[in-house]
Amino acid sequence: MSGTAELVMAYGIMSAIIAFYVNHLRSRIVFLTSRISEYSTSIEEE
Amino acid sequence: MHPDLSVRIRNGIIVTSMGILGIICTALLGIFYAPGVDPMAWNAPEAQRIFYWHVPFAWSSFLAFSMLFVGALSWYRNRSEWGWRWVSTGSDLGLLFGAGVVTSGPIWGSVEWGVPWDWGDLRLNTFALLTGVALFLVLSRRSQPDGQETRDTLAAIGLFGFALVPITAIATTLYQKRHPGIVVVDGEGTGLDPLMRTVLMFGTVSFMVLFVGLWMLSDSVLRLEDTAEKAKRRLD
Repeated sequence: MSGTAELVMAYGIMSAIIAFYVNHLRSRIVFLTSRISEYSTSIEEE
Repeated sequence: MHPDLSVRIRNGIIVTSMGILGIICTALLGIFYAPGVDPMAWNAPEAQRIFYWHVPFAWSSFLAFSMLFVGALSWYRNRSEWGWRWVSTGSDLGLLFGAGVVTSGPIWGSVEWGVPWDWGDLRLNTFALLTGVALFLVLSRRSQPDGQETRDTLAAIGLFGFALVPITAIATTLYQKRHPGIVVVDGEGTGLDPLMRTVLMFGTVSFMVLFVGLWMLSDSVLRLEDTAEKAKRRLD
């Protein structure tokens, strides 16, 4: 038992945690940018 | 969107990408380049290589909890917006890096110690509690309406939660049971092979770069939320 499977599992989980948060930030930036753009357009039309 | 915010997001993406590249290199160096440990002295010598991410994850989480503490203090002193943004980002990053530590640690422990968790080890338990505080803050921020009362309550929890940081740090040396003590400082029964230390330091710098990148992006998201909220109010 050298722990190779555990090594792969640990790096996999830690990578997934970072990937999840980076994707969360990306999707929030995309969503909020489009929302602000919509609001700006509506304000200009008024 | 304000041009300054666009620049901030672009810089955040660049710094985060550099950090991700650095931590990928650290993992590859840790797995394929760094020397292994004595197979006679360790139960699972290959699992020891988890260390090259596990330790920088832990240090990054302490940095995030310190940020949470400074932000909470600033929020209480003068109700500063940046203070609240630090509380928000500090709790997010504290949870992110804390979760990495409390998942990778038991995986390593299960194969090295034979048990994933030692309930008698102060350091493990205070760290888990610290991550629990960060989880509570993140979930509360998302579920409660944003306002001064909510911010006051959560900042207070952040301040008291930070008390666990010195306890965890002191437990590293004074109350060390199953978890190893400080390995980067040379001493009796401690110390690292120079090559291992180099890879670990490279990993630490990479994680610090990633931390700064994520901080910049998280801060930008909070500013965007604020801008969207103001625009919505204006439209209403």
